Amino acid sequence: MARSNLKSLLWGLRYDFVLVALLLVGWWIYDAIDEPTVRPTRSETMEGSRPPDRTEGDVLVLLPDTPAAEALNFDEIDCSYGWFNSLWAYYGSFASTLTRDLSPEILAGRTVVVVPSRVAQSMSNAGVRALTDFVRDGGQLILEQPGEQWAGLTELSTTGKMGRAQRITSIEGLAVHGPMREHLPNVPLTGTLMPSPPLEHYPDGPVLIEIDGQPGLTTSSHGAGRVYSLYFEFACTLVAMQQGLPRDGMTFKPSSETANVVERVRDEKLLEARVPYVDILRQALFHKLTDHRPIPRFWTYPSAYAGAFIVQHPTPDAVRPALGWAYAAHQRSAASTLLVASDRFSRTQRALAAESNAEVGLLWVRGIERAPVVDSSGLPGIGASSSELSLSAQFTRLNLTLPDDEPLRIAHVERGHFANDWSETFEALAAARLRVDTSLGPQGEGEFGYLFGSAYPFYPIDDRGLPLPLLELPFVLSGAGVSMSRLEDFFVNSKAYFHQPIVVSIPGNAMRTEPSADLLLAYRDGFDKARSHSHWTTTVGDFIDFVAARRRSVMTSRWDAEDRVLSISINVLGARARSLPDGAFPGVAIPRTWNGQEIEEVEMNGESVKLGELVTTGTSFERIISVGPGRKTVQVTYAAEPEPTTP
Amino acid sequence: MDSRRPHRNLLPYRITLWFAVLTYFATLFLMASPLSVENELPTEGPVELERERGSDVVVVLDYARIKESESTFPGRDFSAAWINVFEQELGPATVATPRSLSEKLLDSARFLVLTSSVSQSVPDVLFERLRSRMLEDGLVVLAERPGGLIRERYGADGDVGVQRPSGVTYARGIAEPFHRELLAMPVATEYLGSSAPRSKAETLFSLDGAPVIYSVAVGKGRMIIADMDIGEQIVSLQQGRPDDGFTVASQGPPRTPDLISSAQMNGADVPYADLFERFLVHGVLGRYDALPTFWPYPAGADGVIVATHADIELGDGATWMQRFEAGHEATSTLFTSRSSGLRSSEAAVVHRLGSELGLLWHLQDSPHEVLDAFGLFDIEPFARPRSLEDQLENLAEITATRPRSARISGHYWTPEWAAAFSALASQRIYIDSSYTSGATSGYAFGTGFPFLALDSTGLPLSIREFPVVVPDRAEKGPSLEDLLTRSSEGHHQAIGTDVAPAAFADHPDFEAFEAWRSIFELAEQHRHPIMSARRFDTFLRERRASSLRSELTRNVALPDGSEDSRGAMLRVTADAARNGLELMVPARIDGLAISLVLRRGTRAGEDHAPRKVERRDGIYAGFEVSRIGLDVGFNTLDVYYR
Repeated sequence: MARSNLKSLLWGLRYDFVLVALLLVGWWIYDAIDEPTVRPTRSETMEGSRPPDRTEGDVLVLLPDTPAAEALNFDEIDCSYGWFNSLWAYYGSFASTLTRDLSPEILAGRTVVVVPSRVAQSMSNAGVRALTDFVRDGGQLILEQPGEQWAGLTELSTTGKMGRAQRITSIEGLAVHGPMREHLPNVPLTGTLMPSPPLEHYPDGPVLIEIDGQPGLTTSSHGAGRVYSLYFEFACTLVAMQQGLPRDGMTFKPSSETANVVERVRDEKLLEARVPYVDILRQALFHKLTDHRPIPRFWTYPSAYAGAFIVQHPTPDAVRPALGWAYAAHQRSAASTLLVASDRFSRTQRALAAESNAEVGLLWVRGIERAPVVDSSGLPGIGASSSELSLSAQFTRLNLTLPDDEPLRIAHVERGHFANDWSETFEALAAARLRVDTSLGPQGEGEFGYLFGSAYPFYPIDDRGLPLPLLELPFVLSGAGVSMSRLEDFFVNSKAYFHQPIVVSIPGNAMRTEPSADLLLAYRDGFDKARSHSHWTTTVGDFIDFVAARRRSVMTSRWDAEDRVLSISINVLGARARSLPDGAFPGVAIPRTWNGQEIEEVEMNGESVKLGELVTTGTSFERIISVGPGRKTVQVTYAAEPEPTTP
Repeated sequence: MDSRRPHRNLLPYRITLWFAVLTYFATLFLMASPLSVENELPTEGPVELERERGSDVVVVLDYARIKESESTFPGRDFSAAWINVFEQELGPATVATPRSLSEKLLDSARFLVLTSSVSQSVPDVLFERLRSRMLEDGLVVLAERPGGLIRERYGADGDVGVQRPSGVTYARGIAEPFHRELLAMPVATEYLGSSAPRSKAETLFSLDGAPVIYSVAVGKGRMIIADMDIGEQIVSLQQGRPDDGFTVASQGPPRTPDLISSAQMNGADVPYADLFERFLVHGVLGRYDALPTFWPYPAGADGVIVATHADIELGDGATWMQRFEAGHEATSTLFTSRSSGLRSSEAAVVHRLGSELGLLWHLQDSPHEVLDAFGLFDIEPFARPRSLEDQLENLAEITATRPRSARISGHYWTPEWAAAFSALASQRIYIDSSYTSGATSGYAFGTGFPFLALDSTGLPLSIREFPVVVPDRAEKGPSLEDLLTRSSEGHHQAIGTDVAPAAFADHPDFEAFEAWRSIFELAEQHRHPIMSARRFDTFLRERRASSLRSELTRNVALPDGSEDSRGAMLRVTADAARNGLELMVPARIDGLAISLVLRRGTRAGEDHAPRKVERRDGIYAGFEVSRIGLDVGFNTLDVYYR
């Protein structure tokens, strides 16, 4: 009876229930519109690939014939392309080839051949023979972790158990002074150390650098040439500093999807590094090669600039403050790079940025520090649900606001929140057709300097050791960490020794999130200060165009030891640069002295160049000739050693 | 039973169902838009100030009469404004009521001010006592709007009655350009007109050609009559003028610019209220006897810049300006709140820098009010404005010490003229800095100097207003450089500045940044140290807590060795409660100029032989003065005039 009553009651109220249900549905829709749900997305990635080989150049690097297997930890990474990065940064023009293509013909005319660790271990006997002949005929060979098959060349035994390279214990053999002597022992080493018996320091013995009490770098004569043997993982040491050192397999911290770039930093002391240890270590080796013969290279900046100064403004939200910074830079006859979110940037703002000569890059919003960039779906005008935009979609959206002749190519990851993986973020950036990333650098209070060992760009490598078609340009100062005293410190050291691109990252909203008077003062005076220290004030885009042109340029040289004449053939390609209206062309750097004797005469295309026009680098190690574009021949004659005076 | 047959009585069930649905949606709606509940502002009763600091000047006022006066703005007795006049210009002043006015006080006074609250009906006995002291001891008496015997004996007839003046037409003894500026002062009070000037009276100040301040010689002394409401004039200029019912006239929520008494004050580069006060002290009272005062700024300074900042959005970041200021030996007051995001660690930094944190008060019923939702458990359908007490407590939790300064966010104000002062005073806030003219710089409130606020009963509250002279992003009005120049040339002002730390947040405006940075250079160039409101207030408190007595002897032998060298000597005894106080004395008396200042040793073990003291001459609001440095503690100085 009661049950029947209830049924009758419910039946009687059926329209009321329908109405209540409609009301609830209406409310749910309203709520969904008010706070739409966001479907996360995953950005596509790509694998690294071998860059095209170049045949011209005094220096040749032999690269592995096949990519390595996917690394499960850092020890398994093939760092051969770390050598590629080093030669690219230091020389600009160099040749590369697969090991299987090694032949006497390909070695002909080379000054230096580099054999990375993985190549050295798998080198065939024929290859060893060819390189032995190359050295005997006057070439210089750099061997990274040479095995027993190289004993004929190195004249050293490397049998025994591999250890871990801890630290540089002596650099007496290098006979270096100044900052190199002070800072080289502090380079954080990574990877294994090949055993070797203790030996005398150069020149009494072969040891140039001692690591953990045993030889780390040795040199020995062989015929008319020289062999340099590295017993530690030189390239991996550099790669670990530049791209970071994973701690847990190939990740940087346990149980996390993301890891901030700061967690990649190789060593805690790099969080406040005033010294670019990557460049210090490179120079220690490459400078030594000029003991045998002068080796020219393309200078790392246009003409004879001592360095570069670049300011970027990551702007996750409102663009107005960033436009204010850009305007301020423009008033100081400089330009800056605005890194904007694709959903915050309009064509009008693009026009305003153009008025300030600012370039635009993409700030990849990952939805961590701010709401993700989304694409609404559902009924028109009602975004009850939305999808997060992938990097590629964010790229496309922002690209639509830019003029056709200024395609998007620069990226910055939202406050350095990378995927917690060795190369996933780099792979995603490369897959999205971006060509430069500027995300590595200090993020928090107290962090500044060369956290990634160098401010010079590099190609990140993936977990099979192949480079990605993306350049990483680290920054050295950010936000409230920017002050005039620090900037000046960096400029002075850069001009005097390190020759770095000083990239400064000032978030568009810095005066809201981390305001500081020092920051404003540094911005006000920084550009002039950079100029007064002979630094090129430029933008990310211009700088990257320049380094690309430098790489495309060609340089070969011949050395006539008897007449002390270095003949250099160059074909210089330049880059259009808004910050250098006449174009950005690399200068040619040549060792200042040979056997202690200064340059006596320089001719370019048969015409004499005044020695007073040559700029000396901060270390006084080289002199720079501004050459301009096109094919040229440069002839450098060093003074003869004075005749011994007879009593 | 067929379930499809309608239930016999559905109505109660239907009502229950729809009531539940309605309640559910009503709760949802109220949680999204809670019902606002009123919150009463706290109030504090005014204080009946009496001070017995050693001073040459005794101000007499009757608080009972003040309270009994008509409760309209024009009818209210603002005699308490005289406290301000002397505390600002003199430092220590004795404030007495008819009950506390003792024989001893009367005998010790060199100047006596009978405010309008007492001058209407001075008892015969007191009148005779004053008269005899004027005749024999040279007492100088100023009576404001007197009645009875004083008017009968010394005042003009007052037959024309109360008049509304159009302007100042005459001021005696004040140098140009200050004289011209005083004549341009807006007048916000009425005066008592007479059919003829008082015979043998010396006119000191006229409105519309009618003498309203004049003096009559009484033996060795003087009787000065003020036939105008000086209190109303000063209060109107400084504290602003509401309508007759003490309500602030405004379109929309009232703001402090609505309090400005006259359009002429907007953008004024002359501090009219201070100019008038200084004229009263040095040009009226000081005309008949030497009146030494404490210099109102730290030794060596020609004025000060009271630097303030307000922040509602940057939180910890808002202290960046104070960090920079510390590098320039400057301090400032940052008005902020806990809701801005400031944390205790950063508050400790501010404290360490010597700067101050004050409350940025989100005034209820203003557009900046903060609402706190409340209800049961997580259902909070009601909201009430966050009270002043809660805001202060919240801030005190991070500042460790309770803030003593406040500013109303957005420079809003209460509809009732003095209600905001009363609320702040009730919470032991001693400094308010809400007064501003909006986007125009200048002395919109006639002063940059802090003044004691009065409530609508005419009695003082225990809070001082530090008006902002150069507001944040001022678009019009005199530049800070002009104000500093004029200040160091004679107006000697405290110039309140306000620069928002968030001013650069949305646009790094380098021009504005350079303008802010230039303040430090200008301040040094014009000898105006930059300090927080609290630091300057502490200086002024200690100045008021000091004592200053003097005695002028005419026709004395000068200590220069020659027998026939005679002149006047002003002996000043000052008990300085702090270091860095300076004495200010007139540079001339009776046409004689200062020839020598000697300090006498007063401490045990000190050489009692007088020693010569350096002085610095200058102009103070149109009067020639000399400044002499004081040591902390007792100082006895003999100032010789030749």
